[in-house]
Amino acid sequence: MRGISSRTFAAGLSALSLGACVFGYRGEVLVSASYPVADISAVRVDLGASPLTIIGDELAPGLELSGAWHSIGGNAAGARELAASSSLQWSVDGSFAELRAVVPLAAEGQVDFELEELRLPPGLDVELRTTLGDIDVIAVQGNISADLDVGHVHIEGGAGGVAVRTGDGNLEIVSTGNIDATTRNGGAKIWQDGAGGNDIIVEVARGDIEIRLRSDANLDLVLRGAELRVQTGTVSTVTRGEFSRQVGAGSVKVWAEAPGGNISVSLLGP
Amino acid sequence: MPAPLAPPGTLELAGTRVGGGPVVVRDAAGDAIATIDLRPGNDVALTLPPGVYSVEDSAQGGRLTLSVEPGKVSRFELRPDGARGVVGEGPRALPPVGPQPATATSSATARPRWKRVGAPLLSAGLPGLGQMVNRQPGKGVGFLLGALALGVGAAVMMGTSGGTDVSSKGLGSNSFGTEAMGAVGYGLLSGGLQMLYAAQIMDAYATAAGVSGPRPRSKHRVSLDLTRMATIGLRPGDPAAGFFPDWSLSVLGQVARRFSVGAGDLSIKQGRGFERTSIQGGLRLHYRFLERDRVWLGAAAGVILQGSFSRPAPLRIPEDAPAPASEGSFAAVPYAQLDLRFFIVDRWSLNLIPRVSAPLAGPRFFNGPGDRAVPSGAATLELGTGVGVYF
Repeated sequence: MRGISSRTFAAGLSALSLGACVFGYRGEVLVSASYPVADISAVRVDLGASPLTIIGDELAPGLELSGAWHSIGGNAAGARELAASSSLQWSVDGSFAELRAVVPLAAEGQVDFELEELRLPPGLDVELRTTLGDIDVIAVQGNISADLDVGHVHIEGGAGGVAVRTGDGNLEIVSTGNIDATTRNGGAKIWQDGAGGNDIIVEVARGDIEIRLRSDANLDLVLRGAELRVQTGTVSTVTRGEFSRQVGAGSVKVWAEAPGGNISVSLLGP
Repeated sequence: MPAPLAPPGTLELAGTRVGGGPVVVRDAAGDAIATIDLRPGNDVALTLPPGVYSVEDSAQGGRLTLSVEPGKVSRFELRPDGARGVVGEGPRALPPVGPQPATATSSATARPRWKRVGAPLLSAGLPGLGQMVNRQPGKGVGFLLGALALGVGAAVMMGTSGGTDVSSKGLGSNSFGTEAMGAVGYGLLSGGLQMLYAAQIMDAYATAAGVSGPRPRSKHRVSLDLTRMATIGLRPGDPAAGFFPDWSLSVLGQVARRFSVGAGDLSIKQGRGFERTSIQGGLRLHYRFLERDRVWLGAAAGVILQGSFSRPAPLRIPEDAPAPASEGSFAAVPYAQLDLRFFIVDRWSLNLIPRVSAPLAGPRFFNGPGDRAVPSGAATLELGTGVGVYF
């Protein structure tokens, strides 16, 4: 190019790229709602790409929700209007219920629901789904199932069992129930609670696993990882690759696999 | 002992065409040694080493090949109806020049013909490989490293505004600045990669075919453009900003000199999980107001019409719930744009297109998952990068 130097060309390209943007406004509509759970034993929560904070509350009369619809628009009024155009849908089928976010096509990509908090009776089983968002579950004693693409998971409770799958995020689970947890990219800290004796099955593709046991009676230990450290009253070893050992009846599964990381198993202090 | 240098010859350039015109003098290797605006009464004499030279009439698209002999004068004359040349002392008239095939030089005929197809194909498979086949290893390695650097950089920038960094509760739009800069970085690097990739394929062909000075086809009938328009858009959730691309094809016919009309922004877009489909196309009017050597500058205005429809996922609860009805959405997006086209070979250009637009009547959906939409009424500045081909 004779007329325009390459420097001018590159500078022009950079300037134009930096200027490529959308001029818009943001809107927000706060939401609080209560859903009856008198005959419900299990609830599925699917609110799109939202963090989920679920709290078991003995005093909660039903499913008590608070959150906000966030939106974007070409002007302030349009943004508010879009935020109000979407809804939460509560559906019941026998003892199973589902709470989901419904976004019409005309508002797709322009509204997003973010849950502030969901309180519910602690005995309910909960199934949680999100594409993007951390999950925190506290004091829920029913079965807890969480399936998410991206987000950290923190669960305290789940006496009825815990099943977790995340694509990208750390796991922190403290439970008296059987635990089955998987993450592709992140670490896992799994702690037995109460008297212990619950199964732990955990798989981490890229990250470390730390397991703290309440009891080492009747263990069925199967570990696969880079570096393995086991220090309980009955089993102590430091090795690499694979390690398996049965203690007593071997009825309590502690199976951990971390092909790209280390695994440690130890007893919790008194 | 070095051979004695032959005495130079002279190439005279004279013009009788009203208003004159630009001429380019090239040596046998095709390298430009002089670009002259030749006007009546403004003759130019070049003292040159003996050899074969070509003189291009850039305005009318013709080319003469003249030999310059030691101590003799060759003459090129730019006339209203074309150009004529005289070589040495004995005048020798050459055929008038209009639009005609370029004269093959000895260096061009020596090039293997398979490379004209093979070199660009190899460059399409691996950036720089076609240049290496063309015996330009340094340039080939440069293209390869450049493409790798841009690709890795774009991948890194793409990962900066996602993952667990944006999964926390309550981030809101507070992280907009950093996320917007990450998207800008991704847009720049991926756009640069796109342009470099296309440029090195064209360069591989140009070298293999001996094209050193392309002559853009200003008298084309039809042009095709493949373009990625892109902008940094607002998002309602996290991340608060994102990179919004819109790939499309445009087909324009040149109905008058420099003026083209046709269909622009043709594309089909699928949302996440094929739940949403958007079909778009529109009308574009384009005028090319500047043609200079390898560069064209133009401006265009038009409208994109985008229709979207979705089939929502069936309800799981209750079991006998009726299937949700299909939904539809429509947007008309008027726009105005500039375009800069840079030619490496005669029929292909690299395009850079800044545009201003605003969707009306509904949201405008972009490529990728369903969360890339510009709301109705939101003014949008976009940058397009792409390639054009002219028939």
